[in-house]
Amino acid sequence: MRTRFVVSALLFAAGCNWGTRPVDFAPANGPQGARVAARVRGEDYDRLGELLAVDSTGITIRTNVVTLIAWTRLAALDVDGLGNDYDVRAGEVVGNNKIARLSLVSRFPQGIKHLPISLDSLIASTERRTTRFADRRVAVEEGYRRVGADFPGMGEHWINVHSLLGNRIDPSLPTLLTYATISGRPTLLGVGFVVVTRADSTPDVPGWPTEWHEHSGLLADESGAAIEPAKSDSPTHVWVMHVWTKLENPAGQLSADNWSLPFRRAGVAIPRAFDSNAGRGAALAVGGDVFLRDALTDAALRTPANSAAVDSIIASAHARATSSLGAEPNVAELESTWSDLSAALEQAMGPRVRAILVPAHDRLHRGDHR
Amino acid sequence: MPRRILTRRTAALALLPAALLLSGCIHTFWRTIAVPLARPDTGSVYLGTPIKAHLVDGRTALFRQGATIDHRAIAGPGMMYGLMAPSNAGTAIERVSLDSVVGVETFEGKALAAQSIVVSAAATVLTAGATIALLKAIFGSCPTVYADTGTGPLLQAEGFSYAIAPLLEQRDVDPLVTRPDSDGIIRLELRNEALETHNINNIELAEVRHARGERVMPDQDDHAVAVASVRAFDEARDRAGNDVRPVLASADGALFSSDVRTVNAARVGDLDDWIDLDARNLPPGDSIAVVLRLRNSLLNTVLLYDGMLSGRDSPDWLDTKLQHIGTAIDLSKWYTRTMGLRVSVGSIGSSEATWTGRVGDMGPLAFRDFAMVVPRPSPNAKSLRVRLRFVADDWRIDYAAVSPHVSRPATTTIPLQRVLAPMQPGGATTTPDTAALSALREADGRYLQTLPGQRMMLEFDAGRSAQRGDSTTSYMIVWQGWYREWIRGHWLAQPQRTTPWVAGDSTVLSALRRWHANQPEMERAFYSTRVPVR
Repeated sequence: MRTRFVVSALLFAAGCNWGTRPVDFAPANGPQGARVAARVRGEDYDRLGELLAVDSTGITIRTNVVTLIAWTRLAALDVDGLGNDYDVRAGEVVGNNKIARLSLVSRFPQGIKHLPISLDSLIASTERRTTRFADRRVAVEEGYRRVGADFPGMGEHWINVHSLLGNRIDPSLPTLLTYATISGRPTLLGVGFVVVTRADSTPDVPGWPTEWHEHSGLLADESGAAIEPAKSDSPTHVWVMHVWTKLENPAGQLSADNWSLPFRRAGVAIPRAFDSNAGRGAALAVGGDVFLRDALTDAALRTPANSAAVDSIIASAHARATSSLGAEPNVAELESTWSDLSAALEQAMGPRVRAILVPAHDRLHRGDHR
Repeated sequence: MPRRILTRRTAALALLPAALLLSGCIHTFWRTIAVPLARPDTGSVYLGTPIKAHLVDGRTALFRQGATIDHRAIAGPGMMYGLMAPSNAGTAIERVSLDSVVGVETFEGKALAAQSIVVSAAATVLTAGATIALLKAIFGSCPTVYADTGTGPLLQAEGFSYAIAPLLEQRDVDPLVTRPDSDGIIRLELRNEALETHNINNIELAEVRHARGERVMPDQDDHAVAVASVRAFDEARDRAGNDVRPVLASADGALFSSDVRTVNAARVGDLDDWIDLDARNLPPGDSIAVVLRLRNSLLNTVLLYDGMLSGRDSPDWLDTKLQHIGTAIDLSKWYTRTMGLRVSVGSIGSSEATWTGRVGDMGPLAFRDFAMVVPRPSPNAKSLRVRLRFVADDWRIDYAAVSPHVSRPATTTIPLQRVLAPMQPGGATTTPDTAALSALREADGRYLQTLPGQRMMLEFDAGRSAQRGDSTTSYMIVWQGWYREWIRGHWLAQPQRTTPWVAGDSTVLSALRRWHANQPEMERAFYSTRVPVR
C-alpha cells in the first residue's frame, strides 16, 4: 500500500515535467526552427541540424551546409522535443497534414521559395553552379538554344525555354547563357536571368529594378535593328539581368555590355583603362563592322542609294581599328576611330543613325525601367 | 441504240399529257444550267511580314516589304525568280494569282536576326514536276528519317513536331531500329515530305551500351534510360470507365483512343481524358518507368491548321507574332498548360498525387518508344497508380507497361560523318554535301534548310563493336531544329477564320469537334499524301 502511494506520488510529481513545455522549446521562443535528426536513405548516420523549411518536395535542414532532402530520399526523421506526431517513421508516406505540421516548427513556415535572395549570394551561387556550361555541348544537352545575333559587346545569347517558362531565379539553371567564339572555340562569358511579369505587376527578384532591363519586343528588333521600340498587344513583359561570371566587365558585373569582349575576341591584352567607345572601336576589327552594316540595313538607313558610301566608311574604320589592335591596343586611336566613324555615318545618313550606333539593347538598359 | 431512245421518248411523250392530267393542277418545270463559281469577296489583309510564295510551276515570288492578300491574289512590290534561279536573276512583279500558289511561307527579312542557312546540294535536283506533285500534300508532317532494315526504307522517327518558329526550336531524341553495316556505318535517309521548309540545326547519334535483355529509350528529359522486366500494368481504365488493358498490354498496332462519350463531354474548363494504370506486386525499389509507345492524333494538327493557319493573317502569326518574345511566351505557357501528356503518381485508392510531370506532344506520324521515370509514392512501395491525363483524343497509345528496373546506361555521341545528296531526281547516285555536313555537325547558329521533296543520306561511323559479350548497343537519333509551314494558296483565298486567333480552351474544343466529325477523311488524307521525295 505504501509502495503504491510512493509510486503514485512520484508519477504525479514527475508528470508535471512530461513532454516539452513551450518555454523549453526553442522555436517557440526565437526565430530558429526545431532541431532534427534526419536519416537519408543509403546512409548509416543521422544528419543533425536545424529544420529550415518543409514543403511538398521535402525538408530543408541546416547542418554545416544547407541541404534539401527530398521525401523520396528521407528514410526517417526525429524532431527534438516533440512527439511522434512530428516524426517520420521508416516507410511512412508523408501526407499534407504532416507537411503542414512540420512546417510550423521550421524556421520558415512560409517556405523558402519566396524568401528574398541577396544579389551577392545569387551572383556567388551562380558563379559556383554554372561552371559546367564552359562546355557548350552540356548547355545544348540541358536545353539551351541560341537566339538572336552575336552582339559585339555581349556575344551570343543562349536561352533555356523551360527555365524561361518556369519563371524562377535558379542559380544552377539561369535562363540565359552568353557565349562568344574566342580562338575558334565557343567560350562561356556569363549568364542572364529572365523574369516575366504581367501588365503592371513587379517581380520580387534580387536587384529589382535597377539591374534589370526589358526585352519584350521582336527578336529581330532586340538584335539591335530597331530605331523605335517594338510595340505589342501582349501584356507580358520580359526582364533580363546579366551577370558576367567568366569575363570581367570593367563597367560592372551586372552591366549588360562588356566592352572588354572585343579585345578578348582579338586575342590581345585588355587595356587597363578604356571607355565604351574604345571598345566599340575595337569591335569593328572583330565582326562589329558586319554587325553595324546589318543593323543599318535592317533599320532601312543603309539603302541601295547610299550603300557604297556607307560600306566604304565602315571598311575604312575596320582597317583603322585592325591596325590599332596590336599586342598593346592603342586605346586613344580606337576611341577616335569610333568617333570619326559615327560622325561620318551621321553625315551620310542623318541623325537617326545615332539610335543604331548606340545599340538598341544599350538604350533599353539605360531606360524603360519601372 | 438511237432507235431505242427514240422509242422511249415517243412513249414518254404519249404518256406525258395523261400523267399531267392525273397528277394535279400545279406543275413545276426545272432547268439546270452550269454557272461559274464566284469566290465571295472576303476583303483584304495587309501583311507587313516578308512573304515568299511558291508557285505551281516551280517559280518563287518574293515580297520583301510584305503584301496585300485578298481572295484572288497576293499584291505588292515583289520579285519573281525561276526554278533554282540565283538571287540576282529576278524580275519585278506586282501581283501573283492565288490560283497559282502552292504555298506561302514567311521569311526573316532582318539581316541581324536571320539564321545562317545552308541549302543542300540536294535542292538542285528538285524539278517543276516535283513542285507540282506538292499540290497533293494536304498536311505537314515535320522532317522524317528512314533506315533500310532489309525490307525497304522504314520510318524511324519524325523530328521537332510543332516547332513552328525559331523561338520554339526543339531538340528531340528518338530510338532507332537500325544497326551498323559490315563497315560499321549507320545510314539514315533524311526526308522533307511535307509542305514545309525545315531548318535543321544539328543531327547526331547517341550510342547506348547496355545489357542484353534491356531496352533503351529516352526518358522525359531526353536522357537514355534502360528498362528491364517490362510487363503490362495490372489494371488500366480510361475516364469513361473502359477496361483498356487489353489494348495497351502489347505493342501490336491496336491503339487506344478516347471514348466517344469523353470526347462529347469535353467542355471549356474540362477538356481532358485520362487513363489510370495500376501496378501491383512490384519488387523493392525507388522508382519505376512507365514504358509507352505512342504518337499524337491529328487533333494538334487540326488545332494548328484550323486555328492559327486558317486566317489570312496566318503569315503574320507565323512570323511577327511568334517572333515577339512576349507573345511566344504567352503561347508557350498556354500550350504547355493545356496540351501534351501530364503524368501523376500516387497510391492506389488515394486521390493524392505524390509526383507530377509532363511530356510534350510528339507528332502524329511516327510512333515513339518512350519511358517516363517516376518515383514511387514511397520507397519500396509495392503498388502504385499512374494517371496519364491529356486533352481528349489527343493521343494514340499502342502500348503502356511498367518496368520496375530502371538504370542509366553509358551514352556516347557519334557525330555525323557524311551527308550524301542525290545527283538526279530519284537516282541512286549521290555526291558528298560538305556544306550540309558542316551545318549539321554542331548545335549552333548554322542550319541546313530543306525544301519539300528533298532527301539526303546521313552516315555515321559507329564502328564494329555493336555487340560484345553480354552487352549490346542501341542507337538513338538526336536532332534539333524548327520549321516553317507553307500556307496554302487556297487557305488565303478562302480563309476559314476572319477574326483574330485566340489561344484557349474554346479554340481546342472547336478543333476537337471538327477533328472528331471528320476523323476518317482527315486520317486518310494525312497518311496517304506525303510529298514524294526525289
